[in-house]
Amino acid sequence: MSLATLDAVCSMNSSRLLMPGIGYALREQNRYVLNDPAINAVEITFERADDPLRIDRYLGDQEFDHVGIHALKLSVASPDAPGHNYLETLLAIAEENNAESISDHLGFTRDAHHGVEMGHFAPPPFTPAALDATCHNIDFVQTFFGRRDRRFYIENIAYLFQFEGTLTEAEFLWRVLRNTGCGWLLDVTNVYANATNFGFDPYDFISEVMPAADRVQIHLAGGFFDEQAGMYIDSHSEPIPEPAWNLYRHALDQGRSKVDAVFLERDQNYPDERGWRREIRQVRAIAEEICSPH
Amino acid sequence: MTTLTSPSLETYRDQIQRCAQTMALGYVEDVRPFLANGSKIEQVKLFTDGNLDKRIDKILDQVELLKPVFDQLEDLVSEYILEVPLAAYDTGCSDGDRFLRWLGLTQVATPEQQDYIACQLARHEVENVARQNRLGHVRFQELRSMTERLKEELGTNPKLRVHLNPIRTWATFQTTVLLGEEATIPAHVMFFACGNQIRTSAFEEAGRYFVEELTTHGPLTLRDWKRLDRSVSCGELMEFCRDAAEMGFVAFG
Repeated sequence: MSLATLDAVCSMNSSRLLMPGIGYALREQNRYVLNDPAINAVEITFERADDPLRIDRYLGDQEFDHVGIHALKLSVASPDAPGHNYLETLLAIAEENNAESISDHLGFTRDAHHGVEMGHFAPPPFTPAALDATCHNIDFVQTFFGRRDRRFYIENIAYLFQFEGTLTEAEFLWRVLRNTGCGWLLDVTNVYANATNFGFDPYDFISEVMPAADRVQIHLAGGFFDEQAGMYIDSHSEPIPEPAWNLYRHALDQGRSKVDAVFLERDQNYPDERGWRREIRQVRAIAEEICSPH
Repeated sequence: MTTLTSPSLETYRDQIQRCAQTMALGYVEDVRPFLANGSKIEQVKLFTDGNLDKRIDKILDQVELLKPVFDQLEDLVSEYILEVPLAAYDTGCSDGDRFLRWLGLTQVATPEQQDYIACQLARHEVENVARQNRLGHVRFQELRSMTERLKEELGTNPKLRVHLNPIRTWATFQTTVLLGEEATIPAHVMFFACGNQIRTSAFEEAGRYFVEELTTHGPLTLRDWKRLDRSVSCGELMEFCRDAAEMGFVAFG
């Protein structure tokens, strides 16, 4: 092999290393566009794939460079560690679909192991006690998943209210990532929503937390500003807003070389085929622009 | 499972329990003392209202069969969610199931309505059985995919065994509302998984007897089955097996 050819191969490899996988959070409404050339990754929401009567694997015959499983009920900020059955079922879905990662949210959905479920995650109080419980639970989860080579990522959530605490959210998240070594599922739109609703700089937030994360995945979505509530609602029902695109660029720049995948979420007001393809191609185009070695 | 214990964690546990238990039922006042400066109780209410609305929609999906026979179904679900919180690790149709049991305890249902409730509960139970025995479900459906070819060998292949679908449950209907006027009541109905669908089959006494024999003795060749039960002919067994395979609750292998 000539030196010139070798250089070209190295360049391709390094480009591949830097470029994250790009794809959608899988919904039945976007399954038909998953063969788009812009897509080489996919995220499966566990609760959607967990259909007891399903016979074939959830992904069908399609193969992707990156597959992530996204869970909703690990409730890592609860005082109790997640239940064994839930973890086992998560792993089974991950294995069946060749997923390399599992993620869930930095919050609590239930009070205790045999207690009640709220239906959605609330933010923990940003206190040392909550930090201890959260890190303990993430360690527990990582030990469980790590036995079968699945990496765990924790997502920063969008919240409508905050509990009294002694740390900022960025400090809390920074410590969670540093103490546990888990990956960060950076939901850019959640940062944008919280910054809008609670008055902090979203760029500073990402810059502050990013050094604590070894590996990163990114979520993008679109919501709307609820005039009555005076809050930005992360409804996954609209196109990605312009400020979130800009924040995405900043996130890629800050997370250069450690962003594994970018997933776009949409749960309502589904676009037509052109809309699905246009938005994911924009996600890829920006990643290529920022992550390309040249 | 390990549990953390320290004074600060016990305080944390108390806080999370108080907040989660109250928010799960849509009440928010108990959360007020824990809110940060700048956060308002109305924002907590926005959070809990959104969660409860989603819960209502999910339950209505899970008890879809009842819509034609309960005029005030949405009101009943709304009443239920303010009385009974969502259980931790709510899975599949578990909340819908609890609603149906709550309905049975709190409402006086007509016999027709009771049949609808029994039918919906049985459909959920099939899903629960499949969840607990996923391997059994997948293996049986694999066997079923060969049934069309193998049923031709039923009378000639002495090694061919008859397998009963493991993903099944029974319900008893007291009226003909779901079965048609011709049905004999009370009717014993089997609910079973067929691919990713749920099918039903109402049985006369003879059919139930065959199913019970297969349940008790496991997969059987026709010869062994005939040895166990000399009162039936091979022809009767073959006819039952072919019909059952056609419906999807028996497979050969």
